[in-house]
Amino acid sequence: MFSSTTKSRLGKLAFLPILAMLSIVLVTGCTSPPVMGWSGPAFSEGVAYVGTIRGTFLALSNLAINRPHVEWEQKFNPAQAGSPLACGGRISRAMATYGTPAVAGDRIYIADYEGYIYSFALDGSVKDEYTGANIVASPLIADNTIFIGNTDGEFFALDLQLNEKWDARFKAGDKIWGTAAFHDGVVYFGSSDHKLYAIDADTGKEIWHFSAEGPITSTPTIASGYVYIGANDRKFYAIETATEAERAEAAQRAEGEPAPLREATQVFTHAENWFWTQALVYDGRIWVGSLDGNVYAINENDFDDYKVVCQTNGMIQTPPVLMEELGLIFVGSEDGGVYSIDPHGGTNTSNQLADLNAPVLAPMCVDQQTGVLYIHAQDGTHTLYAVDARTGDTLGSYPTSGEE
Amino acid sequence: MEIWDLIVHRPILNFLLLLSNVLFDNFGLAIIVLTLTVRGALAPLTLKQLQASKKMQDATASLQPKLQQLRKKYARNPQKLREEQMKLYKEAGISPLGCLSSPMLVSLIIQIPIFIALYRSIIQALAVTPQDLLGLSQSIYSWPIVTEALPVSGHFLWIDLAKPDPYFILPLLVMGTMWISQRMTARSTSADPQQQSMQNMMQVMMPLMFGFITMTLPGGIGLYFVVVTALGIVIQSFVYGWRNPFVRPGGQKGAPRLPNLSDLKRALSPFDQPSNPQEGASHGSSGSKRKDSGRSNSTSSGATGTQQRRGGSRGPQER
Repeated sequence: MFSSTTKSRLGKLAFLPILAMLSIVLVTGCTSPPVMGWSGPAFSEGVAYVGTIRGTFLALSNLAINRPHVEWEQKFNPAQAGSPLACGGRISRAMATYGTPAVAGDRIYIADYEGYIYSFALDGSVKDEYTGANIVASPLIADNTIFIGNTDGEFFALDLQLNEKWDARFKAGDKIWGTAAFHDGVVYFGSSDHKLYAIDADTGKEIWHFSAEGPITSTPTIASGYVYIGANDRKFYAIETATEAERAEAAQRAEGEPAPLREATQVFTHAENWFWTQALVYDGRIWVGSLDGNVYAINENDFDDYKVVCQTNGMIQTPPVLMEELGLIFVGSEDGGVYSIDPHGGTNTSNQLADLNAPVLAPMCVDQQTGVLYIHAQDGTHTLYAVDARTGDTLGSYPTSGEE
Repeated sequence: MEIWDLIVHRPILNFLLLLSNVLFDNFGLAIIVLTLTVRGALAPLTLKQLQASKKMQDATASLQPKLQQLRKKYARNPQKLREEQMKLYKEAGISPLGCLSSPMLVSLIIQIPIFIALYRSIIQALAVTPQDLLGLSQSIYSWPIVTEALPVSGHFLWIDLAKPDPYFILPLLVMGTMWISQRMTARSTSADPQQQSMQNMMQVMMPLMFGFITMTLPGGIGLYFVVVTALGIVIQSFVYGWRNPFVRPGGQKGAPRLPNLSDLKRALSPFDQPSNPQEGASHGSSGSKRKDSGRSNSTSSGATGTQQRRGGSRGPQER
């Protein structure tokens, strides 16, 4: 039978449901993955540049000969806002960068999640500018201008000294997470408001917009007079680029008058999940990965003519990269694999080039001269790999999260 | 985990997004309607749980005079006292497991996973960071009506559903509703000062803790807490009736007594320390400790002492 002591203990057990509820709150609210970011590497003049989850920007040389040497490492600015508490931190406290650096001349540009844009010199000296809201996209540099959007739906242009160029920022209806693309004086970008915008790069005026059935988080690709973009509605679209006449018309349009709606020319509807990443146009086909784990090769002229050229066991959110010398396309997957695709092969003719045992979420960078792929894999300890594109051998690696 | 996702989590998440689309892209309304729907569907179970709880509380209260008699009768024989107490409980159909007894346990086991799914769905659907949205891509159905709901609108009334409430209105509402809910089910049934102290502590600590947690979580979760608790109060009223939360369980008006340091000490005292002072007599050296505990009881102000006397409880007066 139960003694009084046991009863007392059992009485305390009555609080188990309460503790369970609190545990639910704490476990589900606070132990979800924090904002980690996934910065892809850029490679220039023998140095790989990458943002780290420790909130730093790293310049690393000699990785491909397995003698990684830190040229310099600079800290990003601390958080502007957000609760110091663990739970609030999950949502509002940024830790790193999602953007991939862009190299222009002797400077490297990157934006962090906190909303700063940085301009690094090759020696590591830095200039930065706070833009007002979180940034997920990478900077696009074209025509001596940096184009980028933020999570407040603002899209803006900065000169290379980080001064605003337009009279006013363009305001989309929702977050801008995708990187922009530039062609013939027009900049294209998607937004979570389901729209793809065509903006005059000189003035920031909207030329037209296209409306998808879901948010657009991917980056457009421009080729053959079309803007190619996938959306979070499982569809991939081809939309005609803006013409000079449309650009002139936009310049004449009165303030407040809505821009016209553009229709898609072709729509690909065979994917089983969203499109998150940029496509590659090569050899008459569009090569694009989907979050369903497949890479599709779609005939540019007929979207019903397609083949699945690579099937992986994880989401594909890295854009395919082309190694010109080898004539091969490479893509990374969340399943940790790096796959090589023969563009002239048939259905599902990819090979697993390397297994990094860590999700590949950030764009890969290819050094066309040496045939080395730079891959920032996100295995919790985050490692930057140099992989031989011919053999798949790991030539060198460096733990960017600072843990050996 | 996949079965959990397939049967519970994904349907709730997709229904939430569907509701958001149907309810004019208003995610705040979707949270309210879904919470009401789920809580309403579980209402029979909740009612059963509350009825069982009330029955147990009432039965415990009705036994107090007999328990007091037993204590007097077997003051020098704690072993026999325990046996007789358990016999009495058994005859009255009271489980010593308290609220962990069936059907309350069954009811909780069914409800908790559903609330976890609902809670997780709200966090996931808000998709504040790219990771969140990527995770969402693996959980939502391919129905256009669901896809079109994305991204969910982050604003509802003054609340940014994706960020903590900067005005602290939601945390205050959570604390207020939770405190009222606690007060409605409070009963002075226990003669055990330790359990009384624990009850007092929890009536204040629980709302405070949830209020604090709400301050750090997205407004959408705070809204969910408020709706869940408010509806809980309505459901409780069917079993316990409406009760002025400012009236003490014994019937006295006035602000309820706040827990003091003695309550905290008693509530957090180690499991091994018997709560019944009379047990101390049979435990040799630990008796002196219990004596201190008894003094502490007698000096503690307010409701606890009053309830003990009214309930005819054992305690310092009997020592």
